[in-house]
Amino acid sequence: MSASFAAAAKPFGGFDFNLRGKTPAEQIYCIDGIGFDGITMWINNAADLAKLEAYQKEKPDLKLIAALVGPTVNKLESFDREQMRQLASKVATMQGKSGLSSKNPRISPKKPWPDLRSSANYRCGKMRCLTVST
Amino acid sequence: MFFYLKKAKQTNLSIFLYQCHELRAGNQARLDEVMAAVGPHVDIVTLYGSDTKLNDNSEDRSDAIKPLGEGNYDPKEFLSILKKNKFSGIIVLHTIGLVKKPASHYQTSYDRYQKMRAEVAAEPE
Repeated sequence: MSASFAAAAKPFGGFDFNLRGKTPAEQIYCIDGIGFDGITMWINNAADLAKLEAYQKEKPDLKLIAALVGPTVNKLESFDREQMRQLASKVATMQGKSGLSSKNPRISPKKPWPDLRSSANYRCGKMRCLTVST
Repeated sequence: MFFYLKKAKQTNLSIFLYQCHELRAGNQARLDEVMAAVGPHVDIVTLYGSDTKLNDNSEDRSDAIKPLGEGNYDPKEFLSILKKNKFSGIIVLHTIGLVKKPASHYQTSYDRYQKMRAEVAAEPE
């Protein structure tokens, strides 16, 4: 067994658990006991943020690995700065990471996506880290 | 996205590497090359079952995102590449769009991942 691979902290979290169950409790407990280290979820609007808070209320020790918002590259109007600020603030309290998951990533604008830099200035936990999709 | 990362010049930015994006981009044969290039900047990767022949840019992700153990792409190959490139970040089971799959796939995917991880860890360096 490779020491470097086996010894590295490598949580296995799940993505999008909101697909099962009618209530937040049903949804968050549908994976209870399996062994996942946490969840990753989309937070694209106030309802998604409320859902995360409902999950946390049901399961106070819930680990949020990352939360993603999905603006579209080259459509800056799809990026809601206030929503991103609220997301980063919430995620920071859960020691998670905030991420921009850009839609249409193949479109390569000639200049950098300006919101990437501005978003990075929102503090996301101690790591102040923001992830982006490829 | 590495392009944006370099241009942003923000040290707190990192990359979330989606297996489905790479396979849809036709990068299956060069995943090692991709990880070698961006690996130091990646802190989360996604992993799941997938087909090898994919519909690029389709909103229907059913070919690219499946429970582990389904599809003809072997994600253990990706795990081996992560090991080779000394990836030490977080691996996420991507389940978006799997609403029609039985809820038991959470457990079967988890078990499959643990088995694959043990097998990859046992592979020689």
